[in-house]
Amino acid sequence: MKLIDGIHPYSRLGPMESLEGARMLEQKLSVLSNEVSNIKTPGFKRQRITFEEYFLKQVDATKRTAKGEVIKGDFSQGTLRETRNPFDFAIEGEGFFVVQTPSGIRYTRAGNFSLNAQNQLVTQEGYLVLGDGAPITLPDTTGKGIWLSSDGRFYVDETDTAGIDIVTFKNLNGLKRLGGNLWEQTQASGPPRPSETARVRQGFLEESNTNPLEAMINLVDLFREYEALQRTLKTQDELDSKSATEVGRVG
Amino acid sequence: MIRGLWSAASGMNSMQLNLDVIANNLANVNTVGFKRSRADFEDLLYQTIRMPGTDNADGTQVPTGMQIGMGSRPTAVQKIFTQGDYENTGNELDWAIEGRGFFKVISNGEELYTRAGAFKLDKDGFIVTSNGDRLQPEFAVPQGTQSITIDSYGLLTASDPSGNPLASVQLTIYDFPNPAGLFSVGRNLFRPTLASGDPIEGNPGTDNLGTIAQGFLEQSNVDVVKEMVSMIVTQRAYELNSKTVQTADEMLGIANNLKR
Repeated sequence: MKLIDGIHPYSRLGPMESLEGARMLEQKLSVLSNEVSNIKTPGFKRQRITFEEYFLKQVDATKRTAKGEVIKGDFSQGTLRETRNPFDFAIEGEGFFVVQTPSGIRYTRAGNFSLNAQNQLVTQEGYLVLGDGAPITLPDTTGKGIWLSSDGRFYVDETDTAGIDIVTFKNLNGLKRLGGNLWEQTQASGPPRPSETARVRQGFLEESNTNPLEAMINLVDLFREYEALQRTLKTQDELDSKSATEVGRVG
Repeated sequence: MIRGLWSAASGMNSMQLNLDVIANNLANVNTVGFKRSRADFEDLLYQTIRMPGTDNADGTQVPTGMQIGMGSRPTAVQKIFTQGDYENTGNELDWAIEGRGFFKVISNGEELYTRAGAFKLDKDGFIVTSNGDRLQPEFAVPQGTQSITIDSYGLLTASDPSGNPLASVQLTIYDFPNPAGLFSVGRNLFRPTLASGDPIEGNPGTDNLGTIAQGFLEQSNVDVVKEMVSMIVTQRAYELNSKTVQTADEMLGIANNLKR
């Protein structure tokens, strides 16, 4: 967001504002296409882009404003889809799984895990999923299976073996998205704390919370806005050309 | 704009891969011992225009950053090793493993593993798969055998017409710490990898291995209805992404037309 500061009193702001608008719509399109592209990504949280107005320096009778965009995550619950796979987990409510990556602790809502050859619970990238702050090792079951209670304890053959950590943050919007279904804490998000409200479900995956209908409507809307901006620019251009060629013509 | 074009294109790619996986699952709906695959996706890198928690112009911390994603990509196509249904065939050489475990066969001198228990006899009397790979431990049925029986715990016996056993062997089956990490060779065969871990040998019905059911075959675990529903969803998602590509393209067109 660049404030156009120190505008010359006689500069014409119309075309500038139109261009500013076009740039923001392009930004909006990027956010939207990322959303529809991740329609099958488990635990994906879509983003919403909104615009804020800033007043610019008063240079003539009209109040001029510039717009700045704000991109916020929409952390609403995605649909839970039953997969019946014992190593698929979905979080109901606010929270993240804790994942140990080579570059440090990261967080994810995509619970499509598996076991590695050492019987540790890992993500599809092979990163360790943590429980009680340590990797979760699940010994082979002798037939009664591996069950996760809804408060996040693993029972292997009915013996309480390990827990799975679910954490949340003061300000979810402060988390940094890293791609690969991972999130990183920042100063703005605050430190992780155990989630009070989250429930884990085994054999389910949380689908992306992309809403195809809304995305489609947004897309149409955005396209028409873009067209309107183009009309405005053309009109401004015609006015300029009239004033240059016709106003002041004598005879 | 161009960014949006590529993000949506990556979405189309992901959906295309998803359809490939679904098509293979459906093609194997009647393959004995087949395990369905599932494609998993993740979001790509984000372009960080503003970090959350940085200071803005008047020195206050911004609570939200500004990050724009670049689309999606497939991360894994994993086999789901749930049990298929059993079909009662009544054939004495059709064996299903009820629970965990794989049969070991030798194919081209390599040890491979399978759950497809539709065995045959070759010309020398050895028990082989439909491709002629010998079941391990190798067992040749002696001359004059009338019937072959295998009990739930893997004791394989060949008997003559009067019911006297001619030869018998204890069949062992194999399990892996992480079956999803096995490499699919095709022809219903799996090869161990670093991710699957080493095979663990055992008798059927002991330490967590399944028992053997003679006269049954394990059907593929593909659920046709489920695959059909995924196919519909995939097609629509593909369409939606293509609409985004189109919109981005038309917007570029508009920008190009500003200068007549």
